[in-house]
Amino acid sequence: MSNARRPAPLVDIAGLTISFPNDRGVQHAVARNVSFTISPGECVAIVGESGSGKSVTARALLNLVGGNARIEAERFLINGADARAFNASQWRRVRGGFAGLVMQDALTSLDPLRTIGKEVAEAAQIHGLARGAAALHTLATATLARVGVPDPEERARQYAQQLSGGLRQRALIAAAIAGQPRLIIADEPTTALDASVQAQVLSVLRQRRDEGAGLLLISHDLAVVAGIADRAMVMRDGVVLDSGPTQEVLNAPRHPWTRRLIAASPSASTHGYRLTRPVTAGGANLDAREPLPPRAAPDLARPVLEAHNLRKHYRTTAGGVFTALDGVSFTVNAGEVLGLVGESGSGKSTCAKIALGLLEPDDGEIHLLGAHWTGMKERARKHLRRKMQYIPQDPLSSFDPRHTVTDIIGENLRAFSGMSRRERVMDLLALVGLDVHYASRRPGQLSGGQRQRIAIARALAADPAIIICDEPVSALDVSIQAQVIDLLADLQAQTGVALLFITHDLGLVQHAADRVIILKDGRVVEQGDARAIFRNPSHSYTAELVAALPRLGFGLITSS
Amino acid sequence: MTSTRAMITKRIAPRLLTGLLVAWGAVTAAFIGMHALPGRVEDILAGDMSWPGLREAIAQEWGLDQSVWSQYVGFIWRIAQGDFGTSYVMRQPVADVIGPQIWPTVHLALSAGILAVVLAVLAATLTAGRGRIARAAASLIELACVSAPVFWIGLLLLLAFSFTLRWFPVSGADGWRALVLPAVTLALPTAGLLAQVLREAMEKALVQPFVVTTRARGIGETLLRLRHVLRHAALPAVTLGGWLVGGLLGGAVITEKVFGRPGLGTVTLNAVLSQDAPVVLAVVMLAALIHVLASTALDVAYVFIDPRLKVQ
Repeated sequence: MSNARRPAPLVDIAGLTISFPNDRGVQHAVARNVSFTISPGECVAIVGESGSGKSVTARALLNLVGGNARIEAERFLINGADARAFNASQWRRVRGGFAGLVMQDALTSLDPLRTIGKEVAEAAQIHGLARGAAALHTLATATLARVGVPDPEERARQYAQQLSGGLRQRALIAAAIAGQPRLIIADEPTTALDASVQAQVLSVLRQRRDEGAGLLLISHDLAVVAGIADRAMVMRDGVVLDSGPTQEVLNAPRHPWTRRLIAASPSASTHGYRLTRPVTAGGANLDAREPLPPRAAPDLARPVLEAHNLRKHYRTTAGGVFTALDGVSFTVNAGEVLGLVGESGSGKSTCAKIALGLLEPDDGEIHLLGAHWTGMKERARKHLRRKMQYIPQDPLSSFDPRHTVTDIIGENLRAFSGMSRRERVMDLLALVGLDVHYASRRPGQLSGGQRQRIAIARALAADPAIIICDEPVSALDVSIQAQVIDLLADLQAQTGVALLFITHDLGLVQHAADRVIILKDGRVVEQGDARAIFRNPSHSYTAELVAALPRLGFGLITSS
Repeated sequence: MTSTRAMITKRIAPRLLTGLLVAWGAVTAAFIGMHALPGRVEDILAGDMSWPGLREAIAQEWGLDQSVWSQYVGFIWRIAQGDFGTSYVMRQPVADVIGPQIWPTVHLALSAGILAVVLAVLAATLTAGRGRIARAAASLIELACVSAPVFWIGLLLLLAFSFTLRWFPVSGADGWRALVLPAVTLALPTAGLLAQVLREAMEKALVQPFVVTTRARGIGETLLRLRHVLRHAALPAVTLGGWLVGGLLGGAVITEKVFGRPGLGTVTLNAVLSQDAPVVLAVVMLAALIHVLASTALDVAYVFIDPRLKVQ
């Protein structure tokens, strides 16, 4: 996009500072001195973690930052006009007419009480591009067709909750572009979507850009940014640390934070190495990867968890039968990390529930440490329960909000009492890298990463043979995710506990697992070595997954 | 895909059936109450009336010489046909005593109900998520409306608008002028409560992600509230609806007394004072029936407001 005769930029911003007053009325800046331009046909990405100021910067382009925010800028041109002087009705013309907004999670971003058709047509109706129910409906179906929604007539009459995640996200894009905006602002448009659906949504956005729309992409995912953005900015704590052409920013990052962010993305090439860097590292050895501690090889003669031919059917409300699991078998051996991979609806959560004994399979059985597990009375399996522990995706909902951290970890320390239990809790806190003063905290006072550390400490407290980790880091920021994954790897090496790692993240599973099982529609389509299987997929579905995976194909990622 | 028919069989039919069951329960309770009272059924039904042959006539009409079971079946059968028996105090069929009085009360309750909804929607839409002062003022007024007794509000309004300003008549039921003050009196407590519920629900809806998306389409604040937010806020408010209908009916009885209006309130009060058991029984059952009708109607309305119920 760097030809000499550039078209006039859609957005030209310099020195943008956004601040909110705190409780005492003192202004607190959430974005400082941000400058960028977006030209037609160009995709600019802002990369950052939560609290980096990336979303608020994007919202400022629509003046939707929030009531009491103060927005200052040296230059704030939208379509050539000075936006600092815009009044309410001028801003309304910008919104939907000049710039369309696509947010994360179309289920909550589309009005659940209105049909898709009405939602899609709304911007066009507000900006007077079409009048009358028939014209609006035609426009809605045409726009849905443009973003690749099949059967748009039917979809336009449905509600958001009737559509699959991918269709819903495309409908949200349709609603954003129905007013013919020249700029699309996409705020984490593919977060929480399966890889294949993510690829579809990105291709829809890429197509808009190729047709000449400007695209501002907000994302925490470097791989997504690498695949679509022409230029990228890395933000942290409201400040742009790195910016330039995407290839340059990601291939030769200038700022240490960018390097850490890139290094923190798990992949096949990071297997056996830490994702985090020592904070003190600087200069020459910054790109050197630190290997993980050595661990004992999995003992294939000692199976910990064996699943034989699991089957589970659910009755749907429509009167049909949904097959969640259709003859799934697997074994987790002592000291082994087994990855269970699949997209939503593949049956991986059902597997976890059956393994935990929270759900009875229709057929098949599970052995834990050689003993019968499924179909047993809870009394009979109680003594084995502590041998299998669980780390959920969202530990907050698994904690009693009134309990302190000591109480939470203490749940699994029934054998200890009084002082020895307290000592154990302190030991476990130290083990997961938390200071002793966290012992008296309650879940609400902990950050996401700290909660996950507490969940790990609670699991380890029981001295388990296996821990089932259900998407343990998918709700965390990349840098925090890296810390938690490294911690899990350290503790696994230290204790030799087996892990059943359930995830939709193919990069993560290649980084962390020994073996992997790929589930699709309740069946095992392929299993084998966690890295070889993706290098040489023998099943077409695995190949599809690999193809859909956005990747960072840069030198920095490979281990040194 | 679900059809309208599936929705009727799955959502609406069970509600209608439940409503019917509740109505039957109310009628049965009235029957049991009549028999459970101390004294002979004839004496209870006669009230303070007494003339030769009255007790025999009552025994004949209510089939008191038959078994309790066949009395019960006969009672249900007569009620189902709209025959509520005879008022021996008034010496005319209960239906004739109550019938003409239903409309003034329905008229009053309905106008008050509509007024309450309009006031509540206005107050909530104008103040939800707005400045602290506007919200505090609205909340204070609503709290006052909810807390003040109906008769007191009525007397204040009478004092101001009838005695002092002479805009509206003091009592009676002729024309719309006579309806204004009673309707306002009855509407205010309901409006206050409804406004509070609506505002809270609107404020909850206003922070939903879809509101940001909708604002990003360039929608004006008024249209956003009326088209998107209000509908979300209506869901919890509708849930309250059945209860509010009861409040309106109960309030109507007092309001009628304060403003000297004809209606069920006056009839009921007179019937209780003169121990006119058949009329009291009929009023009890009628009130239950209206309750059942209102809640069933609102339950059905719920399905139409929230399409999520249709498609799950």
